[in-house]
Amino acid sequence: MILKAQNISKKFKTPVEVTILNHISLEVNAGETVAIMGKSGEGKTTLLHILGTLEPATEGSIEICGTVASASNWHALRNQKIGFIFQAYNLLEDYTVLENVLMPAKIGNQDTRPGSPGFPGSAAYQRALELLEEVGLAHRAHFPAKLLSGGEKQRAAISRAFLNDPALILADEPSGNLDHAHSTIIYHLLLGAAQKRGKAVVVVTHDRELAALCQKTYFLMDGGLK
Amino acid sequence: MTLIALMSIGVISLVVWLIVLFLSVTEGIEKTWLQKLTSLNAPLRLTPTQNYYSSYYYLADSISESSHYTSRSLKEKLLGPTDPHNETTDEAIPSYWPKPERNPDGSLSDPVKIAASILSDLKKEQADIAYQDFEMSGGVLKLQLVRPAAGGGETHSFLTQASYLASFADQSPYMKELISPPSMKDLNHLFFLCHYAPETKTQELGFNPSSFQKKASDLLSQIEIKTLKTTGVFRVPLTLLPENIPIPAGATLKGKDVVRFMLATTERGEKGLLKRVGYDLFWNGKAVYSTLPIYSEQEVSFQAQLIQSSLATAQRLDDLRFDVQGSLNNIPLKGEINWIGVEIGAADVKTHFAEPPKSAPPWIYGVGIHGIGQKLVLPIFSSQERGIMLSRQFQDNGVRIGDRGYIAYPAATAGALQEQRLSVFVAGFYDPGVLAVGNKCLLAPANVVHLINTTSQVEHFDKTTSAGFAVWIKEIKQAPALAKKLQDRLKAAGIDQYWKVTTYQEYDFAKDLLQQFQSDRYLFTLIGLVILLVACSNIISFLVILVNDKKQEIGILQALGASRKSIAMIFGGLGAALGVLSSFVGVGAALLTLKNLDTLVQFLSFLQGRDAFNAVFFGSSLPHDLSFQALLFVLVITPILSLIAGLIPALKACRLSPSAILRSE
Repeated sequence: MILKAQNISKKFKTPVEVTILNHISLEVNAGETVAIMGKSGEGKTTLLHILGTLEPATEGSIEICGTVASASNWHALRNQKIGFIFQAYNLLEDYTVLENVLMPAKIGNQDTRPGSPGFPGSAAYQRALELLEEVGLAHRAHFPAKLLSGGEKQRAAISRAFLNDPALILADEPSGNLDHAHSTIIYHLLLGAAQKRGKAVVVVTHDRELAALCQKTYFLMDGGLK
Repeated sequence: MTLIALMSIGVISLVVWLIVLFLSVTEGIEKTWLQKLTSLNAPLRLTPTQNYYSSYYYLADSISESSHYTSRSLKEKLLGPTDPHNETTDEAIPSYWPKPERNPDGSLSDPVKIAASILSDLKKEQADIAYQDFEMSGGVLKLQLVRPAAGGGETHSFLTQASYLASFADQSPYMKELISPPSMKDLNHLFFLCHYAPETKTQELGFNPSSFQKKASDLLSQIEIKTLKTTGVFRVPLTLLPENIPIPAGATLKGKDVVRFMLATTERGEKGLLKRVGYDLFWNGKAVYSTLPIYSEQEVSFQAQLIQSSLATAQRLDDLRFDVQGSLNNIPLKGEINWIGVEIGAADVKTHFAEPPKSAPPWIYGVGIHGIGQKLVLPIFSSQERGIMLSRQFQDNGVRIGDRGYIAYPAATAGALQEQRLSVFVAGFYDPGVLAVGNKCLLAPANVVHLINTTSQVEHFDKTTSAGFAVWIKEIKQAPALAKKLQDRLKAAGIDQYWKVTTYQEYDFAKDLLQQFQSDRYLFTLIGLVILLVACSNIISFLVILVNDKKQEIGILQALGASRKSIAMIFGGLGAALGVLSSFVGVGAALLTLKNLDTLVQFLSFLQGRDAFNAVFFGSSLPHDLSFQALLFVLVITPILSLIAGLIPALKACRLSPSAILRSE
């Protein structure tokens, strides 16, 4: 079991108490791909953020790879066990594509030295190049992220999400800003890479066609998963 | 963003610059004052206590023939026998006197020689220590001031001043810093005085140029005159004018006749051209009497060289001749002139001699190799003429080197108190610094001071402070530690009851000033801290803006697993880095300013139209040395304050919710 969410509730107190998520439980196994669909404002992103420890739940617990998430281990879980992909890509625009991809390794204090004559480069560096190769962005490795197109940015983000070899990939509308053709490519890349590595994937989307590519599909409605 | 960062750095640097500059300058001034204070009075003093003055060791002199029944000074005690009393020839020791303190072998214990040997040992251990016995006494100084009168001849006036006499500390390595070399005014006055000699009866100076030649020769062997400058309206000798060159001049007419010419004038009389051809003079091309006087109102400075042959026969100053060269409004003047209407403008004065000179100059001079082992000497010409040093205020009031007079003091004779006089002359001026008795203290040879002390029956002084050993060290601030060491050794030698060790911090006249300096420094450090705090708070604004600007990046880094701590450290570290950078910029700027302080002060003085800093208080130039304390202060405090300033935005940054940030993008 990679992800085990039990009885997740989220309530906002201001100005009046609103319950967004109501006792949701979700289990995702390794190699499993799960799509969560729902109307805008139903709390899909909130749920994904709670699953990814970016936001605390009002009630309930999250267990990732057998570790119960708490404020003390959030950053370690995010760095080692979870890979995020966002609708807005969220690359560091002033850095190059390769630097962006390497960022999780840097944050995890891994060796990220580039290759030089007589030195093939650190493990993280090589892995980053492989991932960029895999998403077809190797030729853009040294481009500043801000010069990339939307599709290219999302491919870089996918490479970044896989860099630290996390067990769980969380994607929030990964093709929300892309046209249909690009969306399909991105989905295939994402799900292909995940399946190849046996990763658990949770995707939030409102596109039925794309959701159908996942093994399971849940609908978020009135605070519950159906 | 960059602009705001630069502004923050600029403001902090400015404050750091100000603090370093101010603290360095005040510390330097304090150091200068301490130096002045302790050059004359020594940072450490070893003075005999009342126990010493009531001991058999001290009293024995007054009943012993070998001491001439007179108390001996410390120096005499050092050089003379320990026990002067001869039981067979001298009167018996009064029974009420304290018992002599004796060594185990029965000999009399000698606290002066032991103390001197302790000091000598200390000097061997620490090369920068110097010591000397000192003594103080009092008398009335009377100076006869002979000055040239406006219409020729001279005026006599007298200056009387009840004075303290301190023995001149020729062993002090710092004394020479208090003494300024003879000024040109002094030199001109010394030449003027060559015409005067003391009258046999009254000992007062009278016009007597009979020994002028010798006196002038002696002086000229110590002085090399470089330039002469005119005083008032100068009569230009005809031969000084260039030949065959028409010179613009003004002529004063009486009727139709020219009575005199004025060179380089714009106002008087008829304008025209004056030309010299050989010994003939032409006015606008017309021959005139070559004896007509030619004057110059403007001051002319001549490069001058004495014609030695004129000295050999000179009876008066007017007889001395010089080869001169100068110019007046681009008119070249060259030729010979007599010492009339001119005075010394610049001269090289001998104030140091490698060997004791055969004929001493009438001013204070140094003997020995410059720096090492150099000794200052107060000139003594005979028992009748002893050089003394007066405080600089006398100089400001018109007293000059060479002025003669006497010190009067009362002495008991069989019948009554009688005034005794010791002839003295002024051999130089010293800077009294903050000496409480200030300008009332004159420095005289040690034997003169002791003579007055033993002869004079009037007890003005507390003996326990007016004599003793002065001890100098290079690092004045080490004085308390040295005092402790000295005290311990005196105790170990068993003579501590006879001696008291005092440091400059305990001198009455210094206490207030030192406290003032200290409180000034504390106050400014406090103010500096507050300004620095305000300046560093600039960092808060900068970083808060930066945090807001970089919100998205912060959110992304958090999503990628960056801990709150590492986010906080980025911004805290940035704050500290700004502080460190600013400190270095500020310190660098301060160093540069300190190096060019004189130029800056000159500029400030120029802007103000007067001296920006009073030389009496600040010294002739402001200190240039960086204060180590100030450096330490800014280099430690600024980064700490900046770090603290950086923590506030850092806390804000790490409290940002990644979910909220990433959702809003």
